[in-house]
Amino acid sequence: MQEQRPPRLIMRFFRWFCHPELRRFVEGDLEELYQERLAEHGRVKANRKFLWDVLLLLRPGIIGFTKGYYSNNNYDMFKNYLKIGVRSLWKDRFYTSINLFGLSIGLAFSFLVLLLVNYEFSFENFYKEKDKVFRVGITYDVGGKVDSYSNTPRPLGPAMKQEFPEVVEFTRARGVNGLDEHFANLKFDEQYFRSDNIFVVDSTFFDVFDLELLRGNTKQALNRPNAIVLSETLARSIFGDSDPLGKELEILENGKKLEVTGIFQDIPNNTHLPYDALVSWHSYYPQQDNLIWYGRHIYTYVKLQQSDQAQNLLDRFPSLFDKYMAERFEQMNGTASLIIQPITDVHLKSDLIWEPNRNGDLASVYVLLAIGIFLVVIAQVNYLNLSLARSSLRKKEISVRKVVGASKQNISSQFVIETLLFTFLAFLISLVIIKLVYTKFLNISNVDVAPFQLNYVLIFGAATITMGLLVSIYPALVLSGMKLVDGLKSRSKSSRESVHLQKGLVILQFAISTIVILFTFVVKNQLDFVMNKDLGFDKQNIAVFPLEDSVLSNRSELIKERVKGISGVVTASFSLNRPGIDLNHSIANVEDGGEFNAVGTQFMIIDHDFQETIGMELIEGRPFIKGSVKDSEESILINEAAKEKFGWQNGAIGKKLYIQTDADGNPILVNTIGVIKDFNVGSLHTKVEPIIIIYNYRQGNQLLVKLEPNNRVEVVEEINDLINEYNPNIPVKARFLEGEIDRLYTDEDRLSKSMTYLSALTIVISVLGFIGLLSFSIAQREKEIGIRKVLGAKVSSVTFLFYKEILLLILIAELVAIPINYYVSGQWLDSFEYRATLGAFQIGVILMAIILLSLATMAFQIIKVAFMNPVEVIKDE
Amino acid sequence: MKRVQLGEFEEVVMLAVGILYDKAYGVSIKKEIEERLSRGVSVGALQTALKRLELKGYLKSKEGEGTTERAGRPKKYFSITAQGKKALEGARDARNSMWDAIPDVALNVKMSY
Repeated sequence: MQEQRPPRLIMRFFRWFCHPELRRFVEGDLEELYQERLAEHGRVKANRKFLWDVLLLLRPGIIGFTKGYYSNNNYDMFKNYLKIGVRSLWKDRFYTSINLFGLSIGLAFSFLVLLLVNYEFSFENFYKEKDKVFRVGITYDVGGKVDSYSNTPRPLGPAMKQEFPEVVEFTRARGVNGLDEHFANLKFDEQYFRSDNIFVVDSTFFDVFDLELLRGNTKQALNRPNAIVLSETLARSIFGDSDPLGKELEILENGKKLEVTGIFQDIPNNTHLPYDALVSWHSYYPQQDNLIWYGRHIYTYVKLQQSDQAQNLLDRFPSLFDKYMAERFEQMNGTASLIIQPITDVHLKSDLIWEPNRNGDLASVYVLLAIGIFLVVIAQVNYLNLSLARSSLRKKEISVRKVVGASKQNISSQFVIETLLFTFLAFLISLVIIKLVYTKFLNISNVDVAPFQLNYVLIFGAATITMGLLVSIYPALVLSGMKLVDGLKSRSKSSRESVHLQKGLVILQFAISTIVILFTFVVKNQLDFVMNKDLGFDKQNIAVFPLEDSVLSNRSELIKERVKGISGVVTASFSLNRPGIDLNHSIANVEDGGEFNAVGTQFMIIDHDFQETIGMELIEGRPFIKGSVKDSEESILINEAAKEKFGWQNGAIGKKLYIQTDADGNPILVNTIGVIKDFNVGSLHTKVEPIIIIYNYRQGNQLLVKLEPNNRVEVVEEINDLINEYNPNIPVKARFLEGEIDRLYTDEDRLSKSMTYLSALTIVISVLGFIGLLSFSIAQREKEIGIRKVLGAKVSSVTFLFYKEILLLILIAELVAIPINYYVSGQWLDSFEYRATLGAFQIGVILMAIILLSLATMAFQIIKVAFMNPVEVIKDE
Repeated sequence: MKRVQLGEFEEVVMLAVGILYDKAYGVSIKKEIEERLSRGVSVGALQTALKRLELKGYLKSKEGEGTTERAGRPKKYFSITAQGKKALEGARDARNSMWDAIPDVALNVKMSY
């Protein structure tokens, strides 16, 4: 009879998990029990009980997985590798800490910098259909002046929707107080609330930009006159906890009363068009303004059926131009073409006239991106270099491992694991560093991104480990490929390739640091230049007081004369324009040999005190005469650029032009009475354009006051008080012109500040690496130095011996760096119309400083070895 | 002296090993306990207890013969060590002293009614 055995599968399962020491005995017990049960209760019950027993055996005391010899070995070896790794890191504490410090700092800052770069590239990402939304701009070529606007005439949007099948929807937007002036003071319940971002938009806004309303209905909220929707935060700050819907707000600047019809969730910061509140377009503007095809600009956005149809619009534009715009433009001797920008490109790639907000600078972002990458590269190079240098010390260990039977793969994996261990440590430390510095860092960089988001940290971690793996490949290959006998005989010669590689890496590192440092100086230099350049006027000690309130602007002249009487005030002027703010563009018809040609130009409207207040220089003719009605109606000043552009090189005084025509279509001619030296109204990114200056003695929307340099604050207080006596709706507060103009360079300033820190970091990390490397080469050559000294070498010659080599490497690095820096900084400076390049002398000084600094930091180690007592090193043989 | 601590089940197992003397191995111990105390004992629980007691040094084991009904697998015979005996005695003494300390009245439950 066939012997009955317990089910094989269950038995195998038991054998698999059971501790090998117990297995035979317990198996015996189980078998015995099974046979007994089989005899007593039959097969089914025996099987069931057997299974039950086996399951109950599955407990900690019994389980002990069989370790096949193969896997057993690996696991223990990994443990051993880790242990040896930790020990060898600990043994060379000095180098480990140098290395770890460098790598952690490099990782931390490159993480922060890349976070910043990521932020800059993330603009408009929160709109789901961002790829289909485009901003429409327009380029005019009128009378030879080509201007590209970020905005368009008002009827363009509706016309595009009507004529172009690709356009699904359009929306228009305009700052509530003027195209790009989107601040406003809101009044509710006798309290004032200022918001910087309020736009008047079409009711289709919600169809173009996918924005959900928390309260109210997207279809109806802006579909009627005098409606406003608010962001959650603004609504809360105005209404607190009470229900905002249906409440009435007043816009102080123009007295319009609006009803709150909706609340939306605050939108993120990363958009070129941030808004806290949207006002309904419906009957907000006079109807005739909305029909003008030249001037009265607004921002126009369109949503297309597909994201790749932008080109179609450009192709179709000429027919639209012919239909609506051609007539007007023929009169002006001009043409127009369309600009279609994906909204995702606006922030970094658009710098057109009258952008709603200052956009970012792509070049700066790329510079930061490069530095972020450089930081890691330099730090990783340090690690690579030191581990190559140290490899000679590990040769005996490797040889012994090989003798005992380690394969090449075993040795490789050992070093890969060591590197990973090291990288992981650096990663942890860098997280701590990020935690410590990120508030300060983000302050400087002026963006608000939280670094400790899970996905960022995960990507960062994964990238770090990947880099660790890459860096470990070369040392692992070199060490595992080493000849066993060499190691055992302890010939401590590094292979020639690895020495070359080390030198190459050091050169790479130093070249990168030098480029970064030189570039930092280029940026600083340029920033200094733009801040201090003679702008053609004096921006210092000028306070600007807004007179937008009609209570004030109607009394401009009176206020000005009273302000002039205050001691500490040099002079004062009111005007409609001021430097630092884009001027109006239009065309003028300019006399040229009996004919009149249309020429594009800018306009500035000022009073007779403006020139003196701002310190502009009149180089020809006469200024406006105070209170002269004739001057205000028939006279203009022009700048040098205009003189040139109008073709009046042979003398501009007395030349005529016209800007407007009277009711019968006859030109209203004006006389040129003087020429002003060129001055920069905008930033130095753009060059001086032709400007026509018109006299206005009645009222201005701002008061410019030139102050004595002392007691500026007190005097400004006094003027504030004086103006506020007239009870304006919004109390007046002064700003300083200098601050406003310097703010045109916030991007450059930001870049310059971050670069200062980052370039310091790159050089510190590089020098750290160099020091580490140097200590190793000194350690290896100690005996040689000892013998040299015994044979009579002087301290100076030993010092020179080391410095010679280092100096050569640094010099090569600098030579590589100079042309690269020349190219890179040239690219960056291209965005400026006025630039300052570093002179050869300045570059020379900077390079010398880098060399001296590097050599000085290494001096300690070299001098130590140069002064050492040769007995110390020679005695042990 | 290290505190002697025997769990209830451990004590039972050791007593069973004592009773069986030179025939104490997995199955016989299991049966002994099941019969005397009329409770089920799983192989797992028993083996764990045996292993633990051996580690504590209260039991020692030797490899025995394999038989056909065990499919040739050897038996593992257990016996009590001197230390084990001490532990058992310690457990008994502790209980006895506690028994002794109970006043007669407390146990004469019926009398109180």
